Amino acid sequence: MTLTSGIRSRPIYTALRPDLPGRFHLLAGQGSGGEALLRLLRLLPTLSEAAEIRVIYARESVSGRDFSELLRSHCGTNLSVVSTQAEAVAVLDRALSGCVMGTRLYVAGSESFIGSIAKVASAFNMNADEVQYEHCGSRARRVYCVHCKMSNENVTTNIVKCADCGRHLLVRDHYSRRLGAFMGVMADAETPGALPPIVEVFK
Amino acid sequence: MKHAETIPVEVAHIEQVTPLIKQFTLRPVGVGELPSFSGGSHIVVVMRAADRTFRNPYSLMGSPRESTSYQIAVRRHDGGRGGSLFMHREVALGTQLEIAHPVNLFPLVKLARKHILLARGVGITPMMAMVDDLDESSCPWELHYGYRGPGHDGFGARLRARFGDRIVLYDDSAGDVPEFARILANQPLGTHVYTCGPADMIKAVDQAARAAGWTGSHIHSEQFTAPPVGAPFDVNLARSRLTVHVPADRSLLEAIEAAGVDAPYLCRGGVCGQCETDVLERDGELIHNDHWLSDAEKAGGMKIMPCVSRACCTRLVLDR
Amino acid sequence: MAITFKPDETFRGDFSFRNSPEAIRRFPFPFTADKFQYSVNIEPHTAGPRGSCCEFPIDIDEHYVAECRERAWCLATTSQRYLALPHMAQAQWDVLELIMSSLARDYPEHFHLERRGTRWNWVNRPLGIENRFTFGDAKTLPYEPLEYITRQAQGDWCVLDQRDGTLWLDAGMVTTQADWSLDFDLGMNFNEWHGPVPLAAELGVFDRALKFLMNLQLTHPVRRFNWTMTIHPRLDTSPEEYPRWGPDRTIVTRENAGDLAHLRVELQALWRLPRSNAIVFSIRCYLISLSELVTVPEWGRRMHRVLKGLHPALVEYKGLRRIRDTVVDWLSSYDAE
Repeated sequence: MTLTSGIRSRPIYTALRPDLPGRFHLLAGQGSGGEALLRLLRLLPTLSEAAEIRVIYARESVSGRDFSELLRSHCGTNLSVVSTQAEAVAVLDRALSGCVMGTRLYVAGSESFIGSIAKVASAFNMNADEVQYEHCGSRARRVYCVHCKMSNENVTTNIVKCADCGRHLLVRDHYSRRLGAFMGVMADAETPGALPPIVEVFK
Repeated sequence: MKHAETIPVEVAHIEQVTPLIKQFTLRPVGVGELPSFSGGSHIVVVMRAADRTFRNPYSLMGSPRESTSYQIAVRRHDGGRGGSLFMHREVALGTQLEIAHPVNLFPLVKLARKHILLARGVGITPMMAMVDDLDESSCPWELHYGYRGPGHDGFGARLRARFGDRIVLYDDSAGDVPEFARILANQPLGTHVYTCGPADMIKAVDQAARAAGWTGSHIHSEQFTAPPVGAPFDVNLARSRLTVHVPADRSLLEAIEAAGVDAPYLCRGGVCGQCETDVLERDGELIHNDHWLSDAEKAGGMKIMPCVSRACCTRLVLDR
Repeated sequence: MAITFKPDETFRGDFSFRNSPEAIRRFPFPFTADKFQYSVNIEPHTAGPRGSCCEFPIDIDEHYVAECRERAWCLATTSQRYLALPHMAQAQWDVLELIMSSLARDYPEHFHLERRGTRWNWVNRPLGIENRFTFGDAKTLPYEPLEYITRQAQGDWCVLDQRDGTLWLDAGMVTTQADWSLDFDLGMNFNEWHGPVPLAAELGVFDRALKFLMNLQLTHPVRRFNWTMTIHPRLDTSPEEYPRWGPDRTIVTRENAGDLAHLRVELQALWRLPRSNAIVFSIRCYLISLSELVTVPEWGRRMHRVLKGLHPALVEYKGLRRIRDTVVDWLSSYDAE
């Protein structure tokens, strides 16, 4: 119950690189992830070389970094800039419904953003060989309270007080792709009130 | 899987569907039903000839919802080990055979948003059952079937009669061939393609799909690799302490079995990995005919798939 | 062979669950050596000795009615204990057929199944259930097929889809688990849901197990045993309910360990399913208090030695940290060595 390290269910993130057998490249980034998108765009063939590219960027960011201007100067009309992660998810959903086989999806941003985007991709039956994820910026986690089923956003500490049920949750490394979140389990069930030191570990 | 319990069946009906392909209806001997199965499954049919026993895999073509009989189709090969010839010449109405339980190495992907089935010749057989499963779902699908010429379109005609426009037929002799690039172009996300036919067709579909940007997780195929015949050779079975002669028209696995050694197997077509055997000593070359071992493993010469592969060696010792 | 059910046993509250001498006799004691080590330990799920818990592929025992009542209570008072992704609809029917046909064949005095084409009639005498329904038509049952039938079976049931070279946990009825959450793990693949298990990954245990299961065949089910310990005969030790059962770990003393500390053994069985080509994984839970366990002297001795020598990572993972020393102490008087 108290293991918090060495757990393998966590996704593996890699630096985004062009997957060129792909014919259509859809890039989705959030906050600091904009930098990864720019790096990728420099490596992808330009539009004139028959690879179509579309970029979706959410400015919502814990770190405050906004790459929308740089992306605009690079992408022109193939860029959609939105304010929040939720809007990015909605734009991506519409975009994917018009996409065809041969599409590649590249995602860069916080773990929560990646988790939300991964769910949309999965709804279109995009598999691991069609999607890449690069983790950028804050390591803050979305934590799912297994007791009251509430998701707590942007958790940076090893213990978090659930916003819904008020229990102190131990933030585990066990990750659910379906929920896009890490597991939170009551930290002091056996000895109420006796919590380990609360430390900021996911910055 | 060693020799599993088999189900005794008897041939209840035979139909010559094309000049080369016969369809056999198998019913259980005595009372009872046959097991349900999933589209894409095959059964291994045990045929006891006078001087040898064949164990050949054949796809189940009938409806998975039909439990009173199984349908298989056998294409006659004149130069092979003789299994298909046995089916065509020696098996008649009332002949009793044994069959193993269905195995599925070619299943439909449940999360697909569309299915495209491509078949040629007798490769249509697993798809006859798959379309039955697809008909029960609401998922879009289409099937493209190439056959060599008039008189060889028996299965295609049946499918057209039942499913209409979802079935596209290609008559080779009329120069009508499927253009895979065109078929696969502009398919919705989540489309899966399934191919069953000769090796060059499977390769062509794979190339066309990847050129269009499809990834491997959406490309599926089943190839009926009958164990190729070849020069006879001898093999030493270390654990059984036997030397076995493998004749030209028998597979290594069949020769091992004929010697009374119970070696594991499953698909008998070189794809599932179950019969993988370690090579303990070798003086000469292995002839790999399988689709299981990696290129490195094949080059290494330390493993062999006896269901389809052979050897050209002065000394060969296997861990059996 | 009719079973005498004990319908009013409880697995919560007053914890009135007890094993009869017969139940103790047939308990699946899992340790074959004095030291416990991980292994794949998968074996064919073939018929065990008469009267054993493996005599039949799906085992019903004296606790059947009480466990079904406990499950119903669990489903009514907690959420997300039964979940099924839409693409598993056909697999649900496969599982319903497996459980109904097994129970009707092996316990004819308690269960009856009549099939006429797709018109089925199912009788469950211990639970007083009779349903006529159309196989394949979920509207003719009061619940989805998987929920319907697993409400009438002991143990947890997980249904795995096979695709992309691995297995995916895509449906399940999970109310008697040893500390894992179906809600959280639903949709995970084989490597992901085994993520929290220590040591085994390094030994390549999971790679071999997955390869084996991918080739699992119809009519050739397999089984393995797993074990842990539970305080009180509590079936629902889910993470969801951890606030309720967690504190129990702190109340075990040298005096009460015999009655409170239970060995919990899971008989895990896996079957390939015919129409869906999926795999069903049953986790059948057997509980025995230490006091009951030591009535078999060699079990008492072995249990003592296994717990005493358990690898620290396993002590931690199996949740035994707080109770191990107390339990080892209690067991030591049953191990003369």
